[in-house]
Amino acid sequence: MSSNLYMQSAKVDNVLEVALARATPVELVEISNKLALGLSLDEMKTVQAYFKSENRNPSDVELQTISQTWSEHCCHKTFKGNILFDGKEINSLFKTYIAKVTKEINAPWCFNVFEDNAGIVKFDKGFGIAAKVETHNHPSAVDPFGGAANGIGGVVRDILGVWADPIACTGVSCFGPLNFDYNKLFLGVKHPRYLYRNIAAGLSFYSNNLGVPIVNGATCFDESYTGNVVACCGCFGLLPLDKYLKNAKAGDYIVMAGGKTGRDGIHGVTFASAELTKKSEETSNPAVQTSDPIAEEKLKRAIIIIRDLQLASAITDLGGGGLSSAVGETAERYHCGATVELSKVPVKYSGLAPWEIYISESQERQLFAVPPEHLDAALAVFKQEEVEATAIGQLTSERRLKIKYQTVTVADVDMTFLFNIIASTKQATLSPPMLTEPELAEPADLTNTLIQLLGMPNIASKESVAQTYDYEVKGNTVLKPFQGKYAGPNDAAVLKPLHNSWKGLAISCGINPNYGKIDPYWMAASSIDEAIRNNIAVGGRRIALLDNFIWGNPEKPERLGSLVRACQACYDIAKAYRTPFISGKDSLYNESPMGPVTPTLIITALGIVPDIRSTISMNLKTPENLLYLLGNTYPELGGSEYYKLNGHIGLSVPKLQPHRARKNYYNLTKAIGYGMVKSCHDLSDGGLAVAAAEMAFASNIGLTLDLKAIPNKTITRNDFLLFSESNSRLLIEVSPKDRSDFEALMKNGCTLIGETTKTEKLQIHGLHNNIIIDAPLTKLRDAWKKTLAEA
Amino acid sequence: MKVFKFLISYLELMKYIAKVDVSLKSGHINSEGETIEHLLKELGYQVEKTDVSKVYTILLQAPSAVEAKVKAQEISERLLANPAKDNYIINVVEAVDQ
Amino acid sequence: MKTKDIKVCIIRAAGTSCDAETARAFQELGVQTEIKHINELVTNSNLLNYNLLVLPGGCTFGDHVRPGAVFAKYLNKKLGKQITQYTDENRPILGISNGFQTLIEYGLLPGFNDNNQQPEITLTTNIPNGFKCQWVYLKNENKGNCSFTNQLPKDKILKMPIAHSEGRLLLHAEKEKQLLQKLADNDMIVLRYCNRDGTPANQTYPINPNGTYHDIAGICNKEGTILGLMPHPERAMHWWQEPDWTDKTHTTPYSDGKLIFENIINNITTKQ
Repeated sequence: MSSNLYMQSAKVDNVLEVALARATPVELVEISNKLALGLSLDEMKTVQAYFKSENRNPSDVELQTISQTWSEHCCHKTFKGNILFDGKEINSLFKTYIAKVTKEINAPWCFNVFEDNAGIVKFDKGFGIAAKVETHNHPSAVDPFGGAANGIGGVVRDILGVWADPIACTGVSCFGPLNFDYNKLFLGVKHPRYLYRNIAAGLSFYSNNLGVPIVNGATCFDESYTGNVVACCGCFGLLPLDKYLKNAKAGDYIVMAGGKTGRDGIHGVTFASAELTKKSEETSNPAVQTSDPIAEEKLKRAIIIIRDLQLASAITDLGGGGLSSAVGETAERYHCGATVELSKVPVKYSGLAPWEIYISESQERQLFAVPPEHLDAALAVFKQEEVEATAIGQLTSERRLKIKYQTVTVADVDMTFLFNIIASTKQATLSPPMLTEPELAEPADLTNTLIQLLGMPNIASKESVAQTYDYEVKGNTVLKPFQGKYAGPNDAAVLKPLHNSWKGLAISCGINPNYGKIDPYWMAASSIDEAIRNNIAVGGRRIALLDNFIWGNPEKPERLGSLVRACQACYDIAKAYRTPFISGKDSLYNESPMGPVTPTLIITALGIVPDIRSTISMNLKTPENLLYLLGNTYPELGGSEYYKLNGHIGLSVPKLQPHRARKNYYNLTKAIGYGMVKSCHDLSDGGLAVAAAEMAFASNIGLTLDLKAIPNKTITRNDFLLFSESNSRLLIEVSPKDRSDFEALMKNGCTLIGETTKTEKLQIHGLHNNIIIDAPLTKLRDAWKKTLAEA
Repeated sequence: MKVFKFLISYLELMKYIAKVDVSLKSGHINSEGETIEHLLKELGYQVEKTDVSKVYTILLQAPSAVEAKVKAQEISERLLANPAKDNYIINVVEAVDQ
Repeated sequence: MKTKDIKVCIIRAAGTSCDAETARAFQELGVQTEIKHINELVTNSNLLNYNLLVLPGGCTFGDHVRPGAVFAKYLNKKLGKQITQYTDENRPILGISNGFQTLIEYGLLPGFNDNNQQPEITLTTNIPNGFKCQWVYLKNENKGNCSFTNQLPKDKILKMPIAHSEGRLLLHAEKEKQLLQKLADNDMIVLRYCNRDGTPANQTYPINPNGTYHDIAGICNKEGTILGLMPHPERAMHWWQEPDWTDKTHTTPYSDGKLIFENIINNITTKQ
């Protein structure tokens, strides 16, 4: 142990000077580990060379600042670095696939994408919609209630960080099986049931207290999430585009507002970028951050007033990396430097070292740039809203970051060096999965199979959770999470954000973790298709996408290879559908001693409903209407819930023909616009049979279907037709009087497969004219509602 | 160990009340406590600090007070307290039938 | 008094969340509506300038201690004199959800005894426990005392959403019967949870969504000028806010929540 590498600074307490200049490579690694910098040897050498050129040793404040700025969480090394895959070098996954497709689509309604805290699209009457989705997985694994709560808090601050007023949230979470054997859990891993309850409680606590409705989401269960829980929160905000002020300049004050600063989340950033180990629970104690939604509510009010009065020239949230990221990124964005006096930062308790203040991730804080002439007015607004706010520094024309503590300089780093992040090069490979297609006999009693499927956790009703969220607050929820007298699952939520406009916002999501085990490309493609078709189903159009990659350790070539394939799918499918990505976030290193997470891409889709009066819900409307199936059915059961029920994964993962699907979606959107569609529901987990059952039992209107009517050349089995999860399919209810118009409009994309009835039963005729499913709707509904009602 | 378990199963089980007091570890701000503290000051009380904790009262059976405490400890760690942010204090007393 | 001259004040504090949609509902009906932070009211406003005070929904002060308790104490400390003057003149106050909880904690509801600091009625944790957002049916059981419902037919069924975790009305255990009698005798029971067809919920979940005593969802004071209710009328103002509007072929422009706002405005226009 070379303790003489660290010296107490002569000028100020609680600051260490690190003898970097004479450190050997072994010592460099030791320093990185001891100070929990998370920097590689190469990076440490770069740092060493820089301070040699400055003729001095760095302080711990400087090293911590560099560590935060260069961390995976802040600069997305994997997505922006180089990757060797398939004999080719990819320079930045982000630029090559995600940003590229948005650039090529070049939609005129994209107002601001990828640059700021959230993506912004144009809406109506001079307003824009800001959108952001983030994961908060690692903190939620340690403290599910607080982690999920702060997930909402953080993503809401991202929306506030583009001057938008939050109008809705979403929540997607993934858990291990709820009946997981307690004795098989690894030390430090919390039981899925404990996580399930507490994450839902955390989301509900924070959003309800803040008064923002959670209107959409998903809950998935898979073995691989047992050690890697997923908590993913989204937020949407409304902003007058002419008030989107981002023009800070040298001389503007740096004002910090909101909660006090403590040791919360110190090294949360480096923590999120490292694999979870059994020690996380003990050692990452400060990674747990307390949450106070009321503090955020007050902050929100102040921000909206300051926006409307145009008192600030820039705003950004204090998220991962705390002040260090927010100050650095603000200065960098406006080509400035900055000076900060850390002793002005309001702290929760004494004894915080300067570096701790600078990188703390205490919640409910926001950073502003305020022109000197507006400083007093801005501080007065904070005071009225009971929000503590302090000017802690200024932006400077000199491109250096100068941090002081009690007037002594504790950091003085060149901005160009700080933001010249070295691109790493990583190896990626991908081998085909060790899976085979199972040989299953067709069950004799398919009614019973359907009942079993409806009770599968991934399919079963999530109403018991949705009801703990105040999805009605703000009074703008046009289409709610559940529909009909008997609460069937709507495909997307629709909001009416403006009082003087009929324009609506459709919010949906797509997630298919099981497909990722077979093929990450088709998993990603399917998630995109699912999010889009959910949006189309309610009448959404002009769709924008948000991506959230949840992957294992990218240092392992196999994991990275699957990530590359998923990104390629993002490009291909978004290009074909002409749906740009407007924001995204990656959460890598989701690995625990229990194994890696299955590659998961969560897609959130944001569509526009031109007039909410034409919104479509999923429940059947009247007996004696016609039921059409849009799209083609293939023997694609790999990764399906049907195979899962039988203990298999399989290989025949659902694929996608986006050009054909796009034409179908386009025609369906037209039919909705003409008022021909009475109800519409997407086919996903459990396929045709599950979707049909859901539509029927939501309003207790019967349905008869005939599988022979389904155009198909390859399937000879009833069970495959019923439960195949082929993409791009929807069920559509049409009144007989519109039959010829509808069929003419849909061309060959749609097939009449049945009709609604008065019987309160679901009846399905099989390929050999026999009735293969015959069940009272109450029985189907009970099976669907029972599984998670009391979980 | 097995023998020991076998033996205690023959011992008479007693009823105990375990009170588990769960509070936030220092370093976490207790916003409920702060809200109350502000209001009390506004109402004219000169209070220095207000903290809030949650007390669970659990009636359980165990062969001895020590065993009861071990059980309560297990319950606390598994469900009531999250060691990442909570402290907990357990107080076990013999339950008196009324 | 003309409708457009009526001034409504929606009072907010840290944690108020339903102020904007409540204001929107009143503005829709053509009255002047202001949203005021309690701090603003303390420094430069007089409550007596307003014809109606509204405490909207939310989680003021994080629902700490008991929902509404902290807000009620602040209101009393900072604006207590003005509020006494205001209520002495029998001017109306509406409390929705957290506002209802606040009125109870303040003692304005049921308001049996001005000097009694110990509330005899409380709104407490739901049975089953936990936050619940759902649509419910309510029956107007008031015989004409309440100035927020006196123009509705008695037994009128209203549909509105609830969203709370502490909405179970609980009466002082030893005086339960006596207190209920007092509420009934003074025509203070306003809204009760019921089935779609209006038959009583009779404590069955989820028709009675929170286990509230006697299915009570809303009560007023003896004078009928102060109403507190757990459901949210501002979220049932427009047809498109209803959960089943996509099932209907014909819709009316407004929903049931409007009736409550309209009723009080009509009363203000005629009385003052």
